Amino acid sequence: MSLGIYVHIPFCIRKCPYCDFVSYPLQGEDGLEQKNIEDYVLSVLEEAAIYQREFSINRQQIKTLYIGGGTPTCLSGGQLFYLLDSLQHIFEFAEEAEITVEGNPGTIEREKLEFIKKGGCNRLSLGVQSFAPEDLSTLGRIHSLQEVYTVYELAKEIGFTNISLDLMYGLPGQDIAAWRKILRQAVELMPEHLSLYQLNIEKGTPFYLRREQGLLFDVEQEMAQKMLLETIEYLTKNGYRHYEISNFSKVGRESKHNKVYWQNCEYLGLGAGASGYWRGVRYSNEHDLARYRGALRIGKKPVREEDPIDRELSMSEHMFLGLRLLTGVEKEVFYNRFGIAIESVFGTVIKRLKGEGLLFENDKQIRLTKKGLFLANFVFMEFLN
Amino acid sequence: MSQQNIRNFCIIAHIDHGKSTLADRLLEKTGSLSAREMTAQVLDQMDLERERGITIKLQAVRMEYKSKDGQVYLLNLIDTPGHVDFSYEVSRSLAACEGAILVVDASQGIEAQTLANVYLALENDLEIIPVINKIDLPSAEPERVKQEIEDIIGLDCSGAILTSAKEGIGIEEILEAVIEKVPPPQGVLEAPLKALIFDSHFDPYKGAISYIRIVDGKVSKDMKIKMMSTGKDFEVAEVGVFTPAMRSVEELSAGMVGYLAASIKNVKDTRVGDTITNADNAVNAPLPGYRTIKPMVYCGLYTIDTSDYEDLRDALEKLKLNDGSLVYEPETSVALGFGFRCGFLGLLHMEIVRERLLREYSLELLITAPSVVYRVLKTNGETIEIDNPTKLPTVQEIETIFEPYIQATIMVPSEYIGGVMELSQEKRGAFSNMDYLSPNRVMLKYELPLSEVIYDFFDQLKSRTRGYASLDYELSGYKEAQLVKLDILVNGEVVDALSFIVHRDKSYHRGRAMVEKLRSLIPRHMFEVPVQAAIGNKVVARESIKAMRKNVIDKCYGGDITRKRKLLEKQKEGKKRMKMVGSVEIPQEAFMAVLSLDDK
Repeated sequence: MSLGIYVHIPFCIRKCPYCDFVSYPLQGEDGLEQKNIEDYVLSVLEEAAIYQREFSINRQQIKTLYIGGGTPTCLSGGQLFYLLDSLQHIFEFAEEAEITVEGNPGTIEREKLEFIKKGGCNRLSLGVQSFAPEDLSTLGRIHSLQEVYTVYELAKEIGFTNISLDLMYGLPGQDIAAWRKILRQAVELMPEHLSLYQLNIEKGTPFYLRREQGLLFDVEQEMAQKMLLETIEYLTKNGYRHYEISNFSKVGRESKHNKVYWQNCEYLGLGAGASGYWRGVRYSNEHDLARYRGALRIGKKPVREEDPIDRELSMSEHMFLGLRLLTGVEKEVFYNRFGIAIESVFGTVIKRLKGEGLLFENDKQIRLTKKGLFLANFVFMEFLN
Repeated sequence: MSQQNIRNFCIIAHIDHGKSTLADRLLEKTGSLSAREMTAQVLDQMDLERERGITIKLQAVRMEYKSKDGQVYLLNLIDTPGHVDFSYEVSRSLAACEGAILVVDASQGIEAQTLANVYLALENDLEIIPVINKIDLPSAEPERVKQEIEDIIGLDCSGAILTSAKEGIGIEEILEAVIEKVPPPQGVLEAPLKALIFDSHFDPYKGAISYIRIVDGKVSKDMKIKMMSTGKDFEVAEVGVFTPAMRSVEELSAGMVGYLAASIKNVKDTRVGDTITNADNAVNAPLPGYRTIKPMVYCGLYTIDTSDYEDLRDALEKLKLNDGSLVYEPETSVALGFGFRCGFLGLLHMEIVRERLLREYSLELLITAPSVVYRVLKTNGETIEIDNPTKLPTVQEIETIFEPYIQATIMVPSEYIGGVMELSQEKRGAFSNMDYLSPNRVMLKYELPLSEVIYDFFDQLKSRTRGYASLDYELSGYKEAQLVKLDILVNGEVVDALSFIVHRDKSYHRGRAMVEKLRSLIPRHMFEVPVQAAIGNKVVARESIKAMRKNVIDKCYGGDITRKRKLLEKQKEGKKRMKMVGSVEIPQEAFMAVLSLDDK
C-alpha cells in the first residue's frame, strides 16, 4: 500500500478571511519571527524521526509527500530545501514519488523556486483562487493577478512540468459569466491539474461573522450547481479529465497524494494542526505551536486527538472516500481489503441509492451518477452509521 | 406537641418578588438548615425551577422555632407557585394551611397573579400577613405599596412587615407574626383519621408517597388506612416530615403536615385532593378536596422514535402523580403515528412538562401546536367538544362553532394603557373595565378569546409594556365565532398534525404566514416540495421548497478525514431528528410553527 506524508506549514503572511485552517500570521502585531519558523522546521523533522523509528521492521517506501498549509512558501528557499531534503534522508522515498509544494504566488520568486526544485519537489500547487482582481481582494489574498502569471512563467522556465492551480467558485458577487471567464483564463495557462472548490463559509472565520451580520450570503444552490456543471463541461472539452468531485487533470496527472486519501490509505500528518492516519488510528496534532513543540521536546508525538478506526467504520470511510473518485469504489479492492463482499455489507443502501438515481453499479465498481455527484453528501451519509 | 404550638402557612408572591429567598431566610433563621446545607432557593428542588427562578411544584418544610414568648413552635411552610398556569397548585397548598404570608415587592407593587391567589386564600378563610419585601432597594416605596394593597384587596396594612429577605431584615418579625396571627389547627386528636393529600410523588423504592395534612386523628406505621375516593385499603409503611429532606417519625397527629408511604404501587391510588381515613373506623364524609381543574390547552405529544411510545405512557403516568392538572389520552395521527393528546393549564405548563419528560425520562418529544377546546353545534343538533383541530366536522355538518373566552386582568403602569388596548384589540378582545389602582397604575379587564391568548399574547404584552404588565385570567365562557380549519398540505398531502383552527378574518393571513414559515423550516429534498394552506378544498396560500441542487463537501481539509466524517454524521443526525411524513422530512419545530407566526 502506498504511504503518503502530509506536512503542515501553519504560517501565512496574513490570514484570509474565509480560511479556517490552522495558520498563524507573520505580519501584524502578533506576527511571528524568523526564529519561530526555523524552530518549527526542526520540530517537524523531530516528529518525522519519531515515526521513522516505528517503520524500521517493516520498511515502507514513501510514495507521496505534500507540503501544505498555511503557506509553505512563507518559508525561505533555504528552509524549504532543508525540509524537503531532510525528509528524504529520514524516510526512504520511492523512485517515482510525487513531491508537491503548495505555494502562494505572492510569496514566490525565482530563487525560492530553484531551491524547491533542488529539494526534489516535482509538483507545484499554486493557490491562485481567482483570475478576477476583485475576487482576489474580496478573498483578502495577498497576491495580485500579475504575480500569478509571473510565478507561473517562472515555474515553467525552471522546469516544473506538473503544476496545479487552486480556484474557488461561488464567491460573493461572482456570476456565471465571471466564473466562465476565470475558467478560460486558467485553461489558457494549460496547467496539468486544477482543483476547484466552492467557497464554504466556515465557523469562526471573519466571513462567517459577516454572514451572521447579513453582509455576506451563501451562494444559491442553483447557482453553485450551474457553476459546477459549467466547469465539468468546459474542462472536459478542453482536455481535462474529471477524476474526483473537485479535481481535474490531464491524463496521468492526477494528484497521487490526494488519491492516498480517497483510496483510504494510511499517511503521516506532520506539523502543528496536521492530520494523519497511522496504524489504524486517525489523529490530529496540537494546533498551538508551543504545545506542538513542547511535546516533541520530551520525545512525544504531538497528538491532540486520536480516533481509532475499527473495521466497520473503515468500511464506511472506504465508501464515502472512494466514491469521491469518479471511478468509484472497486469491488475487488473492497473484498481484498475487508474479506467480505461490498454487497453483503451495503447491499440495501446501494440498492436504495441506485433506485434514487444517485449510484451506478456494474460488476466491477460502484460510483456516483452525475446526479449523485452533486448530492454526494446525501450518498455518503447513507454509508455512515 | 400540642396543636396550640403548630402553625401551617404558605407564601403568596409574584414571580421575582422574593418568595424563594424569603423561604431560605426563614429556614436559616429557625436553624432548620446549617449554613453548609444551604443552597440558594432550597425549596425549588427541580433544576428547572432554579434555572428559571420559578416555583413549579409545591414543596413543604417543617421548622422549629423558639418564640419570644419562650415556647417552641412547629412551623410548616408549604411553598406555592406564582405563575398563572399553576393556580391549581396554589389552591392545593392553601387547603393545607391556616395562614398565608403575602409578599409584595416594595417597588413593583401588587401584581395580577398575586391578586388572584390572595382572593383564593381569602375564600379559604386564611389569615393573611402582608409583607413588603425588598425595602433595601433605592426604588422602594413601601407606603405606596401598602396603600395599594389596602385599596385593591381591602386588607389592613397598618401592621404590614417591612423586610428585605436578601439582607435578612424583618425575618424574625415575620416568624413572630405567624405565631401570633395564624390560628393554630383545630383538629380533634381522638377522632378517626382524616387527612388531606395535597401532593404526591413516586419513589422507586417506597412506591407512591402522599404529602398529607392531618385534619383529625393520627397516623403511624402499621396502621391500616383507606383512600376514600377509591375505597382501597393500605398498610402504612412509614410516616415522616420534611426537614426539608424526608425524615421518618413515629406518628403524625392532627394539625401536622408530613408524608406517608404505604407501598402504594399504582400511582392512581394516591389521588391529590383525596382524603385518607382509618380502614376500619372510617369517617363518614371526605374533605372537600379540590375542584378538578380543566386544562386550557391541548396538544399532541409524540415520540420522535416510535418505539419509545410505551416509555412515554409510563412517564406521563408518573408525572400525573404529582401534577394532577395534567390530563392525557392516546391519540393517533396519520402523519405522526401513535401519541397522546395532553391537556395543560397553559403554555408554560406545557413547556415544563416537555422539559421534565426530557430531563427526567430522557424522552425527546415532538409537540403539535396547542389548541383550545372548541364547542361545535352540529346540524343534527348534537354538541361536541373539539380539542384537536383534525376532529372538527366538515363544514356541511357544522351549525355553529363556539370558542372559549377568558376574562383577563392586566395590571400595568398607566403610560402603557394604549399599548395594552391596542394589543387586546388585535387579539379580538372586548374591553370590559378599567380601574386606577393609584394615579399611575391601572387594572384593565378584557374579554379575550383564549386561542389568541395562548399564542403570543403574554410575550407581546411583556414587550409592549417593557415587562411591567402582569396578567391573570380565568375562563369566562363560550362565544360563537366565525372559525375555520386551516389544513396544511405538504407535497400534496394533508399533514393532520399541522392543521389549526383560526378566525375567518385572519385565515388568509395566517395561512400565508404558515406556509412561508414552513418553507424556511423544511429542508430541501431531492425533489420540489409544495407547501399549501387550504380551507376545505380551497388553497389560500402556496409556497414551494425547491429541490436540493448541490450538497457536497468540496474541501479536503488537508487530509482531515475525521472532520469530514463528523460533518456527514452531523447532517445525518439532523435528518434522523426529523419526522418522516410521507416522503418528506419535517423538523420538529415545524409542528409548533403556528405559535410564532407574526400577526402584523
